[in-house]
Amino acid sequence: MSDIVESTGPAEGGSRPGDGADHLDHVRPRGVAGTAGRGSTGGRWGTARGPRPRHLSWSGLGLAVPGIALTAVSPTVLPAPGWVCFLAFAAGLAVAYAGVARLCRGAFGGSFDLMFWLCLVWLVVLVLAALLAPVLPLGEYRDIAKTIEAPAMAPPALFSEHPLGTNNFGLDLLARIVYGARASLLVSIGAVAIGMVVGGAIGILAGFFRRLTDTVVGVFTNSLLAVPPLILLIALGTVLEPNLRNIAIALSLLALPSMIRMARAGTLTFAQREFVLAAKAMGASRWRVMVRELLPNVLLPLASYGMVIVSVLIVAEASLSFLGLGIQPPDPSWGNMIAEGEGNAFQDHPHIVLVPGVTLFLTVFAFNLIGEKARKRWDPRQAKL
Amino acid sequence: MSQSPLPADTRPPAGDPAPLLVVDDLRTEIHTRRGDMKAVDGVSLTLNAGETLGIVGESGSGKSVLGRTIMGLYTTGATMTVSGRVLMDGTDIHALTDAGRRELWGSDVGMVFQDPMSALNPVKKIGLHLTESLRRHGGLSRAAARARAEELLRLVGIPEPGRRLGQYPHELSGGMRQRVVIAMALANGPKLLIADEPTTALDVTVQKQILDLLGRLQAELGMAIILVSHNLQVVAGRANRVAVMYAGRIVELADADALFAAPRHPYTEALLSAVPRLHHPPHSRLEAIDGSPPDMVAPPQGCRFAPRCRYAGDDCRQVSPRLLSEAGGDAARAFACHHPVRPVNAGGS
Repeated sequence: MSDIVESTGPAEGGSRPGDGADHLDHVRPRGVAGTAGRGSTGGRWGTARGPRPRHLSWSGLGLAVPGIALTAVSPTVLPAPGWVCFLAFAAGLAVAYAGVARLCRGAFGGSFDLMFWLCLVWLVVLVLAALLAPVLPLGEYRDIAKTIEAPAMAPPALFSEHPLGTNNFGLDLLARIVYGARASLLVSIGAVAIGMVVGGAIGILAGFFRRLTDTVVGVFTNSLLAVPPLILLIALGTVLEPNLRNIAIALSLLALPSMIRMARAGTLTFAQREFVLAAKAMGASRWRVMVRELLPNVLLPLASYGMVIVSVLIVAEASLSFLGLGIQPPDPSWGNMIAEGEGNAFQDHPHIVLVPGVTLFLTVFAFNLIGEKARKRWDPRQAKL
Repeated sequence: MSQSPLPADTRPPAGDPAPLLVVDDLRTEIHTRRGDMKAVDGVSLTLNAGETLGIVGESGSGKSVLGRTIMGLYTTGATMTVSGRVLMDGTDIHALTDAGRRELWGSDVGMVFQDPMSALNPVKKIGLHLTESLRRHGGLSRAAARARAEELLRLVGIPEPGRRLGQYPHELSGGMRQRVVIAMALANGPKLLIADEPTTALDVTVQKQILDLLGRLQAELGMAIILVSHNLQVVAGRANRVAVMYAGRIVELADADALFAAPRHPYTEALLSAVPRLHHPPHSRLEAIDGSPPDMVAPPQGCRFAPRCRYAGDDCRQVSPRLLSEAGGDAARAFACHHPVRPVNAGGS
């Protein structure tokens, strides 16, 4: 993500030479904070070194305002063909991002990671919306009988009754996205939770007892990995009734092998450390050693890996629903919403596919980025101890 | 091949009727792919309450395995076989159930490990390390355990103990961590402390501090210590008696002063002469013991030190010498050698 900032930096420096000092101002604290490694400590460095510790970055403001304006104006007002509008929109986004990143670094210190916070905000908003869906003033998402009056295939219009448009039955897409998030997030996070608890427990047992337990678990893990995931899901879909619980259980099978392997590998390395022997020498039973000594050490990398796996499972759930094996319409899920664009719908009304598609993309991106960040921080291979 | 138990006359003076620890013909075999490795091969010794026994030997001589087997951390299982008896206050540690041994560990017997970096769990705070065992064995309440933990940290010389309880191991230096490990071992007032190379991972100035600390704690708390080390200086002056181990056996057992003054076993003599001295002339060659320790899967017949021994005769390669004390000599002293080194001051043997 720093690539984006860097690549826009020189272009901006050329266009506004008067802000050279300002530009340098940002480069130094960012470099220092890069070695410090933590977002929170970076701010202190910035305030300690910079002559103007917390300031309004004029170059940032100069970029942000026209960028946001371009982004807002391009899709609707600009009198140009579609692809020009799209390019203008993308350029506006990039410029606005660079500007806001600058503003934030000026305001919160040199190592402020805008992308991380954007991802976090997106996930928080998504989760809150999904939780509070019934009390939010949303349109109809499920009952076709109530939308006979509503326009079908209405294009997105921010300040209308249907901000993200409607589908072919006139159901509100924003409402369907929010209710679809309930299904997608519940299923994928539930599946990761099941995978983490079951896989973590099996992995720790296998790594701790070795011998027969390990062999049996190894055969089980390898056979799970040997079955192509989509085939496995389709096979399960024919047997199980497609409700949230069963889909979560089916998807957890995808997370299970890697969770078992990670927990087992972690247990193997930590079980050889002297603190395990020390715990035994202090009179700890085997269960106590596993729960109190090994589990906390194994859990951190497992949890951060879980964040990454959530994004894989969101896509897997969407694929299942797209194939008609997951959440059944009219109940919305991002996967079956994308499937509504089958046939000619996508050519004539691209928003039918784009709205759930972009939502899916942003969510997966956010989970991945935050998961990566968590993994980097808690990966045992990077830890000094 | 077999080594007889230590004869009665080599045991410490009979003023103390029941020694704290009696180890009788202890054997630990580790099953490997190549065969059974005899890590500890017939070790017998006794230890009185409040006494310090040093166990020295080179790497791979079975010191650490002996320490852990005495403690009962290694028991007969799939990967190893343990035989012999270890009587702690009259209870055979190896005859106990797992639960019974766990009761013993951390209360009557404490252990200090070699590497304080890995002997503490990186994700647990110092306080939890200490209070867990206090609450389990001592049955203390949360507040009482915390107060006792603070007291323990003060006892091992850690400044600001209250603040340390809330810190993680990586926030402490190596010496501080080893003090914490010692405090953990002391938590429930053990009668026996097994210190397995407690200073090997520390730098020299900290080594002395830790050893002095162990000595002070022993004087205050009156526990017995088994001090395992490959470093003769660590043991010298701190142990009452010293056992020299070679290839899984004790080759010489004597009072520390007597042993360092006049070694009787050739291996002990060679070890002592391999120590660099300040009064040696500069650039003089350091004495080394030729050869390498025997393969413990298939140890040589007879005396195991014979291939490297300059006094070895034919009998040494045939018959394994037993750990005996000399007729008419010092009763507290025993060695396993057919051709012992003559003491410098005494007439002959």
